[in-house]
Amino acid sequence: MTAQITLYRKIMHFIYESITHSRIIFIVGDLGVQLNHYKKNILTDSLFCPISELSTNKLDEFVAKYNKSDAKFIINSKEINLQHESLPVVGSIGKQDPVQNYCDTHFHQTDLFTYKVHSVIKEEADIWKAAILWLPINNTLERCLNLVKDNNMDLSGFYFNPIILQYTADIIAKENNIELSDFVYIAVSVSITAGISITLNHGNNILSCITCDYPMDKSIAYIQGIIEQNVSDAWLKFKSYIEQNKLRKLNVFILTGELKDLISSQTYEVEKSIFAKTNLADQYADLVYLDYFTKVHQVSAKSRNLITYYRYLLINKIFFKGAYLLLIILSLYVLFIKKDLFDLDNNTDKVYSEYFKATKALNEIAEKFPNITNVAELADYYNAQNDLAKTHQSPFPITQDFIEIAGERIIINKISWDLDVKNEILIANIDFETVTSKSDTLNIKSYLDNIIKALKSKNPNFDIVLKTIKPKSSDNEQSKAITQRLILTEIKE
Amino acid sequence: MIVEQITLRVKNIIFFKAVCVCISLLILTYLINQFSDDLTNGKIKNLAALSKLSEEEHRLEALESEDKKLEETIKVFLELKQNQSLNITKDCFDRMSYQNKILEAEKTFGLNDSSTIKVTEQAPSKINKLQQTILLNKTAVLVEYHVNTFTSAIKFAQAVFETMPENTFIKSFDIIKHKSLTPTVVSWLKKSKDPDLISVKVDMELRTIGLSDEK
Repeated sequence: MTAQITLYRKIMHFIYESITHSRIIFIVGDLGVQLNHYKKNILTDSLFCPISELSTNKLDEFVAKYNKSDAKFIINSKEINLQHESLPVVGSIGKQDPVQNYCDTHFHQTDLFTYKVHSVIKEEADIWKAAILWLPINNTLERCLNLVKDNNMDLSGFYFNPIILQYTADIIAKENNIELSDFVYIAVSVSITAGISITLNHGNNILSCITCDYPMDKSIAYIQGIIEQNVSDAWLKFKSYIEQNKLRKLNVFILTGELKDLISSQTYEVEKSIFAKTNLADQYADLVYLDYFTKVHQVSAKSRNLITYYRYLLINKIFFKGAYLLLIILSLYVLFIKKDLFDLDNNTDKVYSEYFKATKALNEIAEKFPNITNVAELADYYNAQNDLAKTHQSPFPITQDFIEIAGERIIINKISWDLDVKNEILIANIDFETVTSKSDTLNIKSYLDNIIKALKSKNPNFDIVLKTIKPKSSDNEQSKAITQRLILTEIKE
Repeated sequence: MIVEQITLRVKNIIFFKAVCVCISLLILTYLINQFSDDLTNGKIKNLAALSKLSEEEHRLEALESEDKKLEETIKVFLELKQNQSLNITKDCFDRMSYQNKILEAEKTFGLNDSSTIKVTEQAPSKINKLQQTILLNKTAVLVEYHVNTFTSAIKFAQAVFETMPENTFIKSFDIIKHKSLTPTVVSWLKKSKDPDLISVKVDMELRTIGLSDEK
């Protein structure tokens, strides 16, 4: 199942990458908005705008520069709500996903939501257990969406930070040869837009997500203290859950620079601590985080409005590509016909010019025949006479030859010669019977072969074929009569 | 609200693109039909031009030949033209003399019953589409008889064919040996001789060239 999901993600990622060349990733946090422009998965430009400067033109100018791009949103905010629900599958008709039904009925049509089903309990009715993340659109997000609208950009997805941290932790664990399903793990990241993000996960389930402020005026050691304190609190909060399920603990840190060094030098009461592979000396880990984000396709958050929007977007992007392809093919076909027409007209002109030359030559020749007013008529008369003079082969000698060669063993029933008007050739069908004893079949065959050979040698201008029409037994059990047909076709010289 | 506006924008784009695609498709379909028709007409014109050219080259070839037959043809042609202008028509097939020749042949081959001869003049046809004045005259001659051997059937047919003028060819030649006594076969029976059970049909066509009276 996991392998199938990974394959699906890879395919979706490939499709997305192949149809999208340029995109802006908006990281929307409580402290500000970071805009990152990617061209073919390579970061080309970046801009951070703190909350206090949101109303300035900085964002507009940046987006206007790359207004041919798609817009992706990463939302990293304290306002993201996490709730756990156990939902039974009700009825067999209609929507089969109870979590989707729940979200459709419980959230406002503009609310963004995403969910992860972490277990399905098989009872009388299946019960789906899911972690649901949702967020009402806030002012910061609305400002960014206005930018998208004003620049006629396409929306290509909304992603919640806790889900991204799950995917990122999964990649980092694989890099360290660890299978995450064996662990309950904490993923920690430090971002310029939202501060410190901590999520506690078990399998697909998000147990908790916390976002703490990043006090910029304090030292790195102080930040380290905040992280360690919050991580310790998270473990403590789920201590009984971990002990009850006898789970192993793992820390996954997405950190850079001095903070990474400090955190990695400490020991924690967990089985293992792993770090994202990076040599960046930056204070914030946004670039590393983005690097992991762009590596794999993730499940986008949606709202009821967005579902409609995505349908239209799909039509706009996929259907019209097919329609344009059809138009191109038809246009090429039109050009092809036009070219043929042009060539044909040229050819007709050339033929007519040849015709006029021939007519001129004919008029010059007309001078040789002063007593004839219309030389064309004379030429036609001459040609018609010549055509009539072409003779056919006479059918009589070959027919006479056959009768002479055939002898008594062959009984002729019918001889029929006809002129094939289309090909102007004579064709004959000679129907006859051969009566022979049953043991003499081979002899009569060679007898007929000899007749054909003799006929051919005497009449090389005819093609001769023998066909058996109806083999039948006669009344006399010892002999049989075979109806045969000899087909003679005139060979044109 | 803002997502709704973005959705509306995409809807408008889709509508605009759909209209453009539909119009383009209509234009292209119209052009394809138009050009296909033009191409068909062009092919017909091209074939007509080729046919005219071939006809003209054929004429040129005929007049450029150093053949003696051309001189003879000119004489015949001029005579034909003169007869045409004087409104004199020459019968191309002399029925009486032909019938006499056939009777002579019947005597030579000793036919028990005389043969049936049917001569039909057919309406003259143009030798080709371009030529209006030169016509092909056709006379169909059907000779039917019955004999008692295949050899005499063929020999008599050959004699009949040889009595025909030049430019005659055989359209069909059928020999059937009757195995049962039909009323027709019974009418052939003779006390003095064996019955002639082989019936023969020789269908010939004589073609001659003539000139149209139309000026």
